[in-house]
Amino acid sequence: MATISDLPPEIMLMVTAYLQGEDVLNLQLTDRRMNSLTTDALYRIFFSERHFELSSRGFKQLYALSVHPHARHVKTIIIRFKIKSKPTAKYLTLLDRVFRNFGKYGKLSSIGVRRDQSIAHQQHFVISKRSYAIMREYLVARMIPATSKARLPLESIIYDFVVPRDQNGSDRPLTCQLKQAITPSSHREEIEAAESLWELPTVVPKHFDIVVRFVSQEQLLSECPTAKLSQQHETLALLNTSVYHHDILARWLHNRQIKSLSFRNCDLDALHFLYTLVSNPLRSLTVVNTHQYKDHKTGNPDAWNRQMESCTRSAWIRIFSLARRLPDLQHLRLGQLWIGAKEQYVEHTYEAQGHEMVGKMLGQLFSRQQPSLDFLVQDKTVVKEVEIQKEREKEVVSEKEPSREEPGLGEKQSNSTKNKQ
Amino acid sequence: MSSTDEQKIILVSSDGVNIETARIIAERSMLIKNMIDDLGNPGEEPIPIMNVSEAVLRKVLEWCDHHKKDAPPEKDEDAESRKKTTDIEEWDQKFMQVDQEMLFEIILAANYMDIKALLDVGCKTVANMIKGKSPEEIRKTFNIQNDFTPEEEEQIRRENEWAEDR
Repeated sequence: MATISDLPPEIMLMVTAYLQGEDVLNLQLTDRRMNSLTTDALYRIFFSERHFELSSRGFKQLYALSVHPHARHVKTIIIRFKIKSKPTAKYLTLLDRVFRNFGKYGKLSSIGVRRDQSIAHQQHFVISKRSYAIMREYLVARMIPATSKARLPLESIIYDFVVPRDQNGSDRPLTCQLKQAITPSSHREEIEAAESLWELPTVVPKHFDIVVRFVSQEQLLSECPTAKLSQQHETLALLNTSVYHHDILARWLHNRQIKSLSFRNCDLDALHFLYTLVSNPLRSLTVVNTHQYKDHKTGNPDAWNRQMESCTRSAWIRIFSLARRLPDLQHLRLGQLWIGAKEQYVEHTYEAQGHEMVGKMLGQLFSRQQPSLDFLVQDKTVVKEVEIQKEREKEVVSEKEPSREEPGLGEKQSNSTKNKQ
Repeated sequence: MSSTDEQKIILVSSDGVNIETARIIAERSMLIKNMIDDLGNPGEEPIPIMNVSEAVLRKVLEWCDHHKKDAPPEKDEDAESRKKTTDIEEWDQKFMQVDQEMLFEIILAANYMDIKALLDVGCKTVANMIKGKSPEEIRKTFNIQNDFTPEEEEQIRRENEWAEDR
């Protein structure tokens, strides 16, 4: 009579693959055979990859594991961080000892930091300066040197932003994980190798067809491992790039054959790279939901507002300046470009002057001869249809081009607020 | 329907019983498919299924008959994604409502006959029987004798403390 004991080990392993941790633990405790059969599954489930909080408690747990016999099974250690959590200096010194302990077994080959999912959500998927600082402070300055000292056979470094699934339930990958082989030949080399990670912009897909990970400057965009560049449409969408990436983006975007670029949820300062787009035959440009919060300095709120206003204004000027220099541009979508702090920024100050300026610039663009430009500005606080329309009419009259029309602009604008990020 | 689908072949169970079935049904088993491909002239020679008794073989062929039109398994299927769910479709659930002896015989037969989908269903069924049960309940379900000494059991529990705080 066949019983569960007659199942060969390979089949029992298949069974355990369908079990969650606690069930494997319970199965392990039934008898000696199950104990021995489930050991591999148990280690695979529980010990190959361990996550610890970036906090004093998390570091204590990490140290305790490092002195436990199960440390021999640990292959990956991830430090998960929330923006405000931070271990005290006392616990930081544990890291050297932790990795020295893991070094005895020589199995640990992958370390990294990962932003907590809930934090990613709160931050609207934007990689903040604080996240960036944590990456450098802990991964580069602490963990990598500690593993180097412990002579661990490090194979990969994980620099990961976990982003929740988008609202549409898209199946597109939402985790950007950069791995780079590290040769532990010397301490310095490891640091440099890890530092090079920071130059790789992480572009997180959300609503877009194109997913790009910038791997090296020389690599063709279409050959990028995670790029799905449509050769036919030559479309590129960038999402959540931050100020830290704009240099490499600029190099990347120079002299490509990109015809359509969508740029959303990005740090306003990253717009500096936009000038490089003129080397592309761009027909469609979307710049939406570009924003930046700056820390408000106490003292002079008026000066602060003026400064923020100036930044916003210069961002708009940059975009229009670019648009004027793109001879093939046919579709322009702009919106939600602003800079400020939630509490201190006085919107109405900007609103009056901003409308005038944006309207004027749009009018200039619209007066262009060829090709006709289909534009849409969507921003409930910055641009109002009536002012754009006014400027447009003024320009049309001055250019004596009454036949030029902007079909459906009003309709588009009324729809546009629904599409806001 | 092609002639290959209509072809009949004869399988011989371990207890020497001849079972006639359609080739398309039998070829859910990679073992049989490969034997047919290797030997040629299907239907002429009975195919021995050495490790599977008549009752189990008939049961396995019942499953193959129901799933004869399923897409062939993808070779490069991601093992991780495949293993995440223990959901079993309704017909398969009813099919697996057999006594434990037959269940394990079916799993062993699926393994021997290389019917991956049936093996997966069997493993999922066993996994579902284990899920949510304490060690003692698992022992009772599968009639397992506890051969640990109390000290050994305590040692394992102590070592696994880490698992609770992952």
